[in-house]
Amino acid sequence: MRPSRVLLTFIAVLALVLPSLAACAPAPAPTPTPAPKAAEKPAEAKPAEQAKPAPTPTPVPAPSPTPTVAAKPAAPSRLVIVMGQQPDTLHPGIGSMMAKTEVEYALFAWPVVFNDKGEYIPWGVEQVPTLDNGGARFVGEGDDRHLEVTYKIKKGNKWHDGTPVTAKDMRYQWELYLDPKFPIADRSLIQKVYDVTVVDEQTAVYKFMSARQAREAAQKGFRGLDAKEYADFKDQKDPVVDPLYWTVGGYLPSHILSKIPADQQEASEFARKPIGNGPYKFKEWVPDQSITLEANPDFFLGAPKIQTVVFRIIKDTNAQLAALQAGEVDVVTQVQGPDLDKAPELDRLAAQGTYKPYYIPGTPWEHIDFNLDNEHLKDVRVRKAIAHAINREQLVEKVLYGKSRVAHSWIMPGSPAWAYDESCLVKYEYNPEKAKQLLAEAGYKPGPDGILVKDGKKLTLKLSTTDAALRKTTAQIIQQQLKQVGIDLQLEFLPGRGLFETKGPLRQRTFELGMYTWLSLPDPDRIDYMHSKNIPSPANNFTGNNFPGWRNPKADQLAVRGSQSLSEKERKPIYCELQRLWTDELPVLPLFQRVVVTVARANLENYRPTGSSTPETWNIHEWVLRS
Amino acid sequence: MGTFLLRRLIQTVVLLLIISAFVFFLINLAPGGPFDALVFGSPRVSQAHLERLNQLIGLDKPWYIRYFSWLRNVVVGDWGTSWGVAYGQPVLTVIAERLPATVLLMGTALLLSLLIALPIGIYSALRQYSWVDYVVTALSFFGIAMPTFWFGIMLIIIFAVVLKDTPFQLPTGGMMTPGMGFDLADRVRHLILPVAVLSLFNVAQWSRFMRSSMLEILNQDYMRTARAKGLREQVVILKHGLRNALIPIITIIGLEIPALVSGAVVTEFIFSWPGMGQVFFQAVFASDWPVVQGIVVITACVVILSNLLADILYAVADPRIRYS
Repeated sequence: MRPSRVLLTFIAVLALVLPSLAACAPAPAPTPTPAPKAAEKPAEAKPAEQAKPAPTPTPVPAPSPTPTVAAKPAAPSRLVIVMGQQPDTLHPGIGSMMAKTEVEYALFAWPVVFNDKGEYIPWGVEQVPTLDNGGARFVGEGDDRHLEVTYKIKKGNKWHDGTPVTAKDMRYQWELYLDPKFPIADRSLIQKVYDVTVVDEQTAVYKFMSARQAREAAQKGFRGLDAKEYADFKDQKDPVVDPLYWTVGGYLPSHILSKIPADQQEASEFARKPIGNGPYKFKEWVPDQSITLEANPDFFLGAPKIQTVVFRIIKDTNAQLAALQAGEVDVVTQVQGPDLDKAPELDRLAAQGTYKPYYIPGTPWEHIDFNLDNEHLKDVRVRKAIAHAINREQLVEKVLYGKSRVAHSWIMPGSPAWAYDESCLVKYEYNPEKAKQLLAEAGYKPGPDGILVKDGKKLTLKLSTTDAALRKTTAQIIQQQLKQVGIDLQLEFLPGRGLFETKGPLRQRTFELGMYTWLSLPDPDRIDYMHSKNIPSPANNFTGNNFPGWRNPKADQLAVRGSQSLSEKERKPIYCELQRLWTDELPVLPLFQRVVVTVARANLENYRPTGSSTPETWNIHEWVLRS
Repeated sequence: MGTFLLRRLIQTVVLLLIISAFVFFLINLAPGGPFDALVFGSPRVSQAHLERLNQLIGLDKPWYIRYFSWLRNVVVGDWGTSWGVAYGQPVLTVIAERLPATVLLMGTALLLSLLIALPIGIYSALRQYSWVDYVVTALSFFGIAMPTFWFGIMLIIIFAVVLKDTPFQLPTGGMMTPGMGFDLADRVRHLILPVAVLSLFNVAQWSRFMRSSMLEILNQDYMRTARAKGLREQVVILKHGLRNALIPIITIIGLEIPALVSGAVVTEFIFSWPGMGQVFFQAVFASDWPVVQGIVVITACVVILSNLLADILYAVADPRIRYS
């Protein structure tokens, strides 16, 4: 045979063999999760928008979890949950990735959980300890007066190796989290605790610092932590409190971890293969691929109905969509998941009836910081003009597909409910005429190219933000809208790191307008960006988040009083007044609430995503796949 | 040859030192550390706390001091610990966990590409200007121009979604079905699409190289001599032609070997393949400098050594070349 014939034959054989390799490979193993039939009912016109009010912090006293019956072993079944990122560790105390929190809530059952209704509910303990129900109380007099918070661990709350969870485990967690060598992400709450007393097996008392102890810590440091980390308490006169004091309690398996020094915990086996007390036990972690968990039949709140849970890492959002359309996965979490630009595809998927997307206005809120030291922006009329010139309703319609709402304050509706009060807010409706009027009052006249000019200087401003697709679209729309009133807005897109780093424009206060997202906590206290002492500068080592540079002595006073009081009655008028000042002087223009997007199978019951930093998996033991 | 090798090896060590220092310096010019954005997720964190977190991973010292510590540790086998991708895990472990997956993917793509590209290239050359040649040429241009990220997603949509519930359905990504033990058929099915994407570009390129190399050889005088001597066509093409045409191909393959280690970021990302490319990408975005430094140095090492290997093979294949 001629060589060319040989070659041709060879190529032809390859061309036939390769595809048939695919065809002849055994058919895909049928996914154990029952594939739901096509929609029986007509497709919903719009996916159910979860118009839930964002969370309130009032703790709910009476517990009502699923009754602790003797668990029947669940019928073998499997759920595949997608995350766009993998956790950097599974140690509960290290790192702050949402990816970790999703898996963590399946492995651990913490004392108190913040649920989808915005309530703090008792999970691992008998009740959420508050001043109202007596679980927390003030003890002592004068300089030694301090807050004591008592936790009573539920019977049956056990680690996966059978050892019961005890008060010693609570004390151990406090010791570890205060160890200077332990790389905990955020100890701002727990560092306020002076001691944790073990009363008996089930009961632990957390004692917050008294004024005297706090001042001492600000002088000499505490348990190896630097005095610098207690600088706020230099002149403390009242007992140290925190508006979310009932969330301070936690536990870790001390019988395993106390053997490992604080600086070696990150490298320990526990950090990659944790032993928890939650509805699922750790089975396997294939790096960058999947984390597999098995049901814990002895879970004290009731055995989970689904036997195996697999967290699958799919990084690309298009690949995530394809996995949904191919029916390979059951749940897609918010962790680097599809953003709102995929909403049309998700709604199409919903119309087929197999999956249900959830769009939840979440606690993160998008906003624009004004740098109050800028020559133009220091005039409040310019800031108000900008507020009137931006059509925020249109932004929500166009950029968020109408699945969110405009924000008017740093407090979201319902977050907490007692603090959000429309009557306390100055609102800015879309009114370009009013904007032009304000600018004219401020002394600006239109120049030959339509851009406003004052004292020979053009009204040119620069908006700095990150290069995420949603932000770029938002920024460009705002640019157009400001042009209508004569403001020339330049846009600067930086990578996330570039905007947020210590040497970046926000912290160094070299920005003019900055657009980014803040989390709204379930408490209105944001002294970190309200108070003038929190304006980052060389003098204070660039501490604080008051990037606009807002200096208002009345606001300072109110912010301090609000952060130190625990009484809702006392705080309500304080935050009403603070919101009035803030929305009137407008150091920050709130834009809209960000939306948490998550997708789950239509037949997955009890899937209750929250929109807060509590992950979708918080009640995973209640999830049921109906066939 | 011996002196040549010795010289090259010394050059390798010097090069690696320069590269590692330069990369370390460049990395540290990049803005921010791993904890800078922490306050945006945890607003109550104080600057003093951030400083302590930085101190725990050694970021409070200037870059040149950190470089010498790194160098000193590397010599005894400690490449540092990750502080982004896998907090607390040794860098070498992070790399070792991803290397096999990368080698499997890139190695399979390499082999398959060679098996397809070489015969196609040779046939194109033998049958220059035939319709097969034109078709192959057109497909080659298509393959070279096709962006990986688009082509990859298209393949996923076709084979996972459109062909759903048919025997031709393929998985959307990953190296294996989670929960399944080692199952050869499962692994092969997961390999098909990413290998296809990677191979497309390689086949397109290498078949062109093979074709032009072969064409050049076919026009040589000694080919005419061989035929004139009365040798069979097969022997003429394979023994006298192909052997010589393969020489430039050796160089090309030599340059491809580093890809076995460094992986292909876009393909790995799209197919969620747990390889070196995507972990490098992750590490850069997480400001995980120890992992970035580790991967860059290892890749540099492989590049230098594979160039050396290509040079040696070149000398072996071509008797006209001798090193001194």
